[in-house]
Amino acid sequence: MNALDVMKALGNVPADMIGTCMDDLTAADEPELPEAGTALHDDLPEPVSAVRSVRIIRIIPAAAAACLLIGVFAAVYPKLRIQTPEITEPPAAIVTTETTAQNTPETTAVTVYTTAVSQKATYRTTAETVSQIVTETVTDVFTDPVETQPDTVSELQPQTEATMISTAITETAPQQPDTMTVPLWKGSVSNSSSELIIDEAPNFSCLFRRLPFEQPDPFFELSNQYESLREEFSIPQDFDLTQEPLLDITIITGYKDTAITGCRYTQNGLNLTVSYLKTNEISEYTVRYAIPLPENLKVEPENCTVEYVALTDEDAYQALLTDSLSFELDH
Amino acid sequence: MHDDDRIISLLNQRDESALQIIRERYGAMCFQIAYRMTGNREDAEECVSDMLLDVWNSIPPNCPDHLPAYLASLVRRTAIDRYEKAHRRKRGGTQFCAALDELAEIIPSGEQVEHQVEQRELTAALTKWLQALPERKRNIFLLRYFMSESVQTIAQKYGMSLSAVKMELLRTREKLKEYLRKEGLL
Repeated sequence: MNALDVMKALGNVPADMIGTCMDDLTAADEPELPEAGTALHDDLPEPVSAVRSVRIIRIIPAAAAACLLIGVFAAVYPKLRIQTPEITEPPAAIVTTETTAQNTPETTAVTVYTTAVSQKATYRTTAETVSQIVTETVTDVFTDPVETQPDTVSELQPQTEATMISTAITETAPQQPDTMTVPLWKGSVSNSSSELIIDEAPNFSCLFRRLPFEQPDPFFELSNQYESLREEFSIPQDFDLTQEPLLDITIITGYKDTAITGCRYTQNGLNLTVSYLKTNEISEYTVRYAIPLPENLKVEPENCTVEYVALTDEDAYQALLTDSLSFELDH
Repeated sequence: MHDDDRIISLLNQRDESALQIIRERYGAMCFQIAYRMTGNREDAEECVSDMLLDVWNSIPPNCPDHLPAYLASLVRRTAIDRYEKAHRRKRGGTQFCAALDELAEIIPSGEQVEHQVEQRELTAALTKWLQALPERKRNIFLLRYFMSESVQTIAQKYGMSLSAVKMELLRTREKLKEYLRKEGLL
């Protein structure tokens, strides 16, 4: 017996069964009958090859236009880049600020302002700016309004500030940028509790560990431990785990959608912003991350702290997800 | 009188206008089934014509309860025959094969008889198995394997994702395999 026999046998099953299935199908969309004098197949879709060729033909003008646009842009962009100073407002940071400020207490709002500033500073470093001055200026602006309200956020981008910074650029000697961007490698998300927790406050905790292993597992080869680490976080092969240290972060959370969304460098430590999407389904999840620690980044696990930000809007949460962290170094 | 009853009544009276009504009312549906099975317009149109001839020859004496299902079965059978013939042509294509096919039309081999018995058993088993399935699962299975509907159409119809339909079909196929094994048909 083969599949064709089964197909043939299906043709002999009772009509009422087939009828139910056909009624089910036609109830949704009754096939339109061809008008008298027209071929039966007029309203049927074209064969796949024909459809594909039509689609390709439709795409060609758009593709040609896109190529032309890219060509023009490639020719013009380098000239523009030389002529204009790169001081532009990064709008994404403001959006983040508003979202977070609405959902969190005052202290978090202050943190978020700092994040916005750090993004600005990063942006300006491309034109060899003096970020030290930027930081100081901004600190002056932001330390005052501790009782900050969400609607005051837009005021944190005054035009005068930009002017002041550009003046500083012209007057001060070039200095090394003090903003650092490191990749954020996400590991597994595991559910350590098979049951949903109802009517209970979710657990939150965060463990920091510096790798390579100070005390390797005696039962496994060290190379195997490195390999499992590489696999866990999908660490690129060119990153030498035996030579370059990592910060291993394990977040215990009550919500599945929990992620590191921001970072601030503190005294020999990191202050991480961990955002989570607050839903009714609470359980116990373990979310793992790793951050490479470059030589000039002094981070001690005991100095690392976490600030949690609760979000209820999924789109806002998705917008915060990142695979790298930028932060200002504290000099 | 219901349209389908009227068609059957016209066929019983040997009125050829019944075929015209069938073509107008169910032609597109039958063409779609045949087209999905053969993948060729000409073949599909020929399948519909053959189906109409089968209808003329089989009603009476047959009196189907559900005319569209009956028509779908007929057009499907015609399309499967065409599929088999096309494959036979691909396999052999020699005069010997053609001669053998011609002889086989009047002299059924022992294997063929055995095959027909097996086919009857298979139909009975399939009917029993389908009856035991929940209606939704059965309809999804029949839409795919009787009507040859695309997974995409089924997903749209039931408001499911593509992968959910594929998973559902996979599970149902696994159940069928298990059942046929249990029945000694595999």
